[in-house]
Amino acid sequence: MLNYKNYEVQDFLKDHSFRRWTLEKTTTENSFWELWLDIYPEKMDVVAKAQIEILTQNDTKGEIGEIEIKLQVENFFLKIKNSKLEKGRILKLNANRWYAVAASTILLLGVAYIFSFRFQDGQKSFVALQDNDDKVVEMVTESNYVNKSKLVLLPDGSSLILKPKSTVNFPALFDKDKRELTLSGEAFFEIAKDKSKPFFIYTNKLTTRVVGTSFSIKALENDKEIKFVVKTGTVSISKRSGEKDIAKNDSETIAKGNQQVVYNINQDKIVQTDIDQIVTPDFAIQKQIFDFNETPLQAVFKALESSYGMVIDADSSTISNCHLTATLGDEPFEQKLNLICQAVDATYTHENDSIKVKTRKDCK
Amino acid sequence: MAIKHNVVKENEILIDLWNKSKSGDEKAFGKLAQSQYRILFKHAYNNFSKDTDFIKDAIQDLYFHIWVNRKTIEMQYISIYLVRALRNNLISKFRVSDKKNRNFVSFDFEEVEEVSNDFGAENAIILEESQSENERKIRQLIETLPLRQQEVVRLKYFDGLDNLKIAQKMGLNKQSVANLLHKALHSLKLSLPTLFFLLLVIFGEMPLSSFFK
Repeated sequence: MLNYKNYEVQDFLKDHSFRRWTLEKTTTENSFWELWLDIYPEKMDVVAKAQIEILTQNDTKGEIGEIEIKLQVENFFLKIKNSKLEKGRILKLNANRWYAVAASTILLLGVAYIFSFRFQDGQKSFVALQDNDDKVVEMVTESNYVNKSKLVLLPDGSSLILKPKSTVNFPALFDKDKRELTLSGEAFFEIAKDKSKPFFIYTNKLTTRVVGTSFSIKALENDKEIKFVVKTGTVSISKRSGEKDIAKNDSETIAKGNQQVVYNINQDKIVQTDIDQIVTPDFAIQKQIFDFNETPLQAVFKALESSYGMVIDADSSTISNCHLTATLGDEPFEQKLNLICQAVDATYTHENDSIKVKTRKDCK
Repeated sequence: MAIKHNVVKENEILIDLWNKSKSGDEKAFGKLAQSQYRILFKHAYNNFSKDTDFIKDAIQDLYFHIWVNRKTIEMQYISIYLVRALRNNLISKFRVSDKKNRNFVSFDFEEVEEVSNDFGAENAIILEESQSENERKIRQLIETLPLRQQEVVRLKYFDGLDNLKIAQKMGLNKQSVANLLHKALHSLKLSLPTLFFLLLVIFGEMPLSSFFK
């Protein structure tokens, strides 16, 4: 603490206490330096220069283009627009859901603050916001940072399988006249049928509009093309004009079951092809036919597990006599589960990222 | 890496953008966000993770949080505030997540104990920490202040309370607290050089002979 008031940038760079304050979240150094700066406010400029130098000292690598930065900022404002709701509407999360609100802000000595994140095998970040009119809005971001696919459940009962290095962003409660979601990366969607609420999926360049279908989208950032493969149902794909609302769009492509649409970004062209069967599936579920005929329940659950990457826990002794005869199609995950459980008189609960199934009686 | 730009001048421009942002000017905030993006990106890339998607997400979250709380956030030096905020965020993330994350790059400082994975602990910055040398010394100096000034300084800088809370705690109004603080800082400024020097001599950390060198 010797002669700090006479220190210049070079001196601060070498001071251990100063470095700790700049780089770490330590309160003892924070206390001292905050106080010291208030005593010598004239040193602020020197301190700032030294802090910047310390912070960016090692930052030699990691290039990012200006265009990419512009896109990211644009994306950011889209999220802002997405999160505004009508006046007076306050959102409460359904207490039974397995997400939990997890955001808090702490201003400590006017400088540091922290987010809360809850970690499992991927990452959920929840930001509760208050904008000018004191409305509370919740946006959900689901990202996948591990190297296996992850099931994501949506507020309307729809579900999607998210591939690694992919992210989706959607409101905790959908609007009353439409459902919207942003995707970066690759996912397989099973959208619950609701004609009154069309479902829009925004990727970087294109908007997909569906009512109730199952299909996959591959929209990786560095890819030169975006690929859609429709398993069942009807999907409408159009170019994003920069506005969220799709009115009548004459450059719209409609794809149905067993069709593939590839949009080439550079050439700005859409190519649509029929595929008799999906030869090399991007997702296990694309090849899975949920057609069961006196199939033992154990096997039914196995089919679900491998398709959705979700562990289904059932007591093998009690379900050993249960069989299922049913044809399931493109219903989202939970709907399938519901149908199966109804058929065999069972119930299920979510437990720590897996599903626990209990049969009410022996299926004898 | 030499400082290639004028930090002070640049900050003036950023402060202006920030003030406009505080009143809701999205365009201004967009410019600010764009101008700071690269420094944030490079910092995350070189110190935390090479996963560019992960970094972009973290920066988005940061900007989102700042925009939403723009009315209450105070920034003196925009770049420093943003980089440190991003750092704090990423530091918490890496403390509680799966350590086998292959993109994890080493930190610039020594490891501190694990923070438990619940929100209270994550938000609490401290873990057991002994007083730094500087804190120890300045506490000695603070003890030479009049009692009420001592209390105000401790509440503000060591307990981290804001003026309103200090006022409530001490049964004063905000203006009295501000005045006390002002006096305390002024005294400390005057007494720091000489008093501290004397402390060094008295407590034997510096021989009297050096005074005559």
